[in-house]
Amino acid sequence: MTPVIGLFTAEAEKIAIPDREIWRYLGYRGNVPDGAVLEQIEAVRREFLGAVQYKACFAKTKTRRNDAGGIFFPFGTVRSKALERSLAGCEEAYVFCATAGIGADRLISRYAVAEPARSVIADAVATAAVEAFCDSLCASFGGSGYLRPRFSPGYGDLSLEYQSEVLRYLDAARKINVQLTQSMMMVPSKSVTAIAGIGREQCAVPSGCRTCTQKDCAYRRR
Amino acid sequence: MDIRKRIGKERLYFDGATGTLLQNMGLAPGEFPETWNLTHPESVRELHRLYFEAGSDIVATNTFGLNALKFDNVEELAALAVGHVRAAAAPFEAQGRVCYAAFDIGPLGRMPQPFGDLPFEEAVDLFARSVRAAVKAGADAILIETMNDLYEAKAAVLAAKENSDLPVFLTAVFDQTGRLMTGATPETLVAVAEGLGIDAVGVNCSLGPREMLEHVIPRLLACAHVPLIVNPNAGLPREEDGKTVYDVGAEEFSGLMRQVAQLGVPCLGGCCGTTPEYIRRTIEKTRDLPVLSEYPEKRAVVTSYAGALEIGKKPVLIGERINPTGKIRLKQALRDGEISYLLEEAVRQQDAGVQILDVNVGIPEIDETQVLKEAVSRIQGVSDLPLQIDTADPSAMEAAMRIYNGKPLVNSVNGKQESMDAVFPLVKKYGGCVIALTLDEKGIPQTAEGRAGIADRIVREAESCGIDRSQIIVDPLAMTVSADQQSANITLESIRLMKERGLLTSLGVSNVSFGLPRRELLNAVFFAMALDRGLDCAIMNPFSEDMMNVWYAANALRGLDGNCLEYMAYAAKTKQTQTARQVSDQTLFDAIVSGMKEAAGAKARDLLLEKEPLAVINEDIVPALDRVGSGFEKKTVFLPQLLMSAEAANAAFDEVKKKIPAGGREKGRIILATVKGDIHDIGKNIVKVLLQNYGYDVLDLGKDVPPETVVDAARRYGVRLIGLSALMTTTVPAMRETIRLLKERRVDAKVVVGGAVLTQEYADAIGADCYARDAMETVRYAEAFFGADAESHFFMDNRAD
Repeated sequence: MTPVIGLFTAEAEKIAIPDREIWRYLGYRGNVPDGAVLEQIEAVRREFLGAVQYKACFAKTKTRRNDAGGIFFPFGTVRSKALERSLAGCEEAYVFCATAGIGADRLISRYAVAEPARSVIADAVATAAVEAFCDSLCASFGGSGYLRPRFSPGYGDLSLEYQSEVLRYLDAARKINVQLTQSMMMVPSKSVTAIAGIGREQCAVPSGCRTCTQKDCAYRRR
Repeated sequence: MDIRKRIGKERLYFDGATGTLLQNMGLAPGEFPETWNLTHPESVRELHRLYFEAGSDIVATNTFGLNALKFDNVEELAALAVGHVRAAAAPFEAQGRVCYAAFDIGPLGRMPQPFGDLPFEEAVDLFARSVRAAVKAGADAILIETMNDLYEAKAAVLAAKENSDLPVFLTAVFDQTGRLMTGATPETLVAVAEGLGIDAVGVNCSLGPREMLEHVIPRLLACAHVPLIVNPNAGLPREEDGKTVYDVGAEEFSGLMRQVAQLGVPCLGGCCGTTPEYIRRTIEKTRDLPVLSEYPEKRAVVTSYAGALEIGKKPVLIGERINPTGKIRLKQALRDGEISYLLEEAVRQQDAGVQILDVNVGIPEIDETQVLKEAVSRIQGVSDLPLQIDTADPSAMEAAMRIYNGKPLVNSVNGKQESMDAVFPLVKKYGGCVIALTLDEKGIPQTAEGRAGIADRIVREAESCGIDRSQIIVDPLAMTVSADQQSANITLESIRLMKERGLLTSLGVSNVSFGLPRRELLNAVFFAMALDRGLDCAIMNPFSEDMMNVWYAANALRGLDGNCLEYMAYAAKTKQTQTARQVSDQTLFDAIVSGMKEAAGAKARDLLLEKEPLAVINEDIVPALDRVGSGFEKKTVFLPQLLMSAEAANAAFDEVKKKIPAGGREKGRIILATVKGDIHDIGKNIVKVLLQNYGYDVLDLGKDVPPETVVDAARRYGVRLIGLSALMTTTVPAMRETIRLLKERRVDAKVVVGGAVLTQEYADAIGADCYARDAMETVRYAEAFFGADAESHFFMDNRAD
């Protein structure tokens, strides 16, 4: 059956970008930036709000474990133990792609020319922003069941290669202008593809940093 | 009958959705609709037949995604697709209807450089293959549609024009903010498309007719001089019982399309969610409406990839800083391939308030065509201002106009036949406004009338080449007043004569003061006088406070600054800077440690009055950098602070450089590159700024850099240390390949690598000499590599401007 692709967008001001996430992406590991840095973050955040264009497309799909050890989706069979754990007990899932738009990349590039501190801050703000936008998108998925934490290609053993299948399935290039380079990088760079299972009951499954094998990462949530 | 003779003069109807109908006929998810031309010919013909039956005049082939990135058999499928439209049209043509097959071309699905990885010429080639297939298959027109990106649209239109004589139509996807997803406005799209010689332009997909009426159509009508096409979706999609449904029905849709037609849009159709019924009802409701074919007056519009700028409304400032004439530092940067210096000048001029950036890289020692192309492309990666492509070399001009993302200002043509023969065909092909210098084979006339005569000839010649006179901006040439005291008067009188003729004008203002003291004073007064005569553009130095003062003040005085708001903002800003200069009681050391850029610059200036430059470096700047650097290593200082300190130190170095005469010493040159396939260069940029702080001369090759480029640069400049970055596992192979090629070509250089996914083991496995975990580690490695003796001799730039 033809997928029903939903579209979702939000005005820049409507997405609250959590300070702590910005700081984490800047490598503060639980510390609080000093006043001068906080001022820079605010200045960058203001400009970012004029540059960001949040857009997302999503589909609700069937999913099930194959006997052969893969996970079935309408766009193909996925092999990943970590995703399997995340989807345990789910018969449906949301598959989505969300982006902060090319304006975010342009802002980061422009700062990079003469204001490297702002460039790094803009990168962190944009990363935190697209994640916050994903939260807002996931919160918009109503209906029955409990939404599991989103799980993206590149997390744990879920190969990046699945990005291309997800993007094609969602018609993301046409719908929200998210495309892949030959080396599997998404353009705009501040974009997320993810799968979030819909469970019948609430249950704690490992998500985010906890599923990642790179234990000494500077950005790891603690 | 040729569709070009009809479009815009009578109402023509396009078809509606293709994908929606094919899905209803059983097209599976993930299946390419284009393959159905081969596998389900009856269904495809039936689809087309339904639209002809509904009354469509122009039916698009089922080739939206047909390109050589996805298909090996482009030609075969193209031939079939056109054949299906023809077959569907046959019974209607037998009844005397005229039916057209428009060959449908959609986006490639890969973003062009610099933000994506698809080279512009590759995009042109891919489209060209589809266009040639369309011509061979006998299509009546090329319909380029659903374009999200201006640059890709330009590639497609160029390919269509270069490979066919067919009419070319372009429709793009605007959102509710009235922009394409990569930023272009309706005005920009129209200016660029018309510049390329489009036959009709418009909007499709994403929005329903209501939103298009509100956000896009009036803007297109206000600026387009070719017929418009409007193919909306059937409103917005939503899910109902597991199916996609659209929220605007055929009745409502057609009512809205009647409004679209009444506004003056001659070509109507539909996109996602629309069916033959939508088209039928639209035709019923609009057939009786007269077709309006009045277009607005033509204007001089130049654009970047995003916004459009109309010349002639308010005087335009064109930043002159990226032009090597008289600029030693820029010349050196060009010789060294240091494009990043040009980028800094671009951003600084934009921040200073110019509206267009002049780009001239003409020095004898370089391949101007290559460098101009690269400069234009990379400046567009960091600035959304329109550019003025400034070169005397027609082949460099063509190369730059071709890859320019937008419609450029071109500098320049002149009254010599040779110049007009070289430049006008380029303007005709690629689009652009062009600066016309009033000189010819006999030189520069000594009278205003003489200069006006040349302008007239240039305009006539342009018109005979099919270029509208509105696109010509005359530069009546500011000559130095020290040589001839009448020269300024002649130039000013020339401006008046051009105005009389309805021509726009531009001047390189600063020539007037050559050879005289206090040039800025003369420049500013001359600028004010020229503005008073109606000057439209000034090529000038935006870092000259006098010039900026004149511009803001003149706009306020001439009624060009509503409520004097811009003047007041400018006055407030300049006052603030003056105060900031006075208040700084920190030491230079403190200013750098706390990352206060302006204070660091000011303090360095003060210190240099009492101390030797080398002492300032060794006793103030270096200790501050070391303090911050070691704090970073101990994790008490974090990345933003480290970089703010680096910026502050750079501000201090800039002051030191002004004091040190030529002959300073460099610590060593280092190449940095983000490897091929990798478009994320933030890490590399961090390393760069720190290395520069520590006195190294960094040659930044940018991102997505092919291995050969690294090898060539290392050899050409004899560089012995190379830093490579890669963000993802998928691009580490390119890093390995770069290292392999460096070794194979026996480049005597060490390679230090870094990036999110790299580890020591990984670095060893790909043959790197060093793995640097962060920017400071790269600095430490460089320090060790170039030897301890370098430590006391900081980088002196001997290329003061």
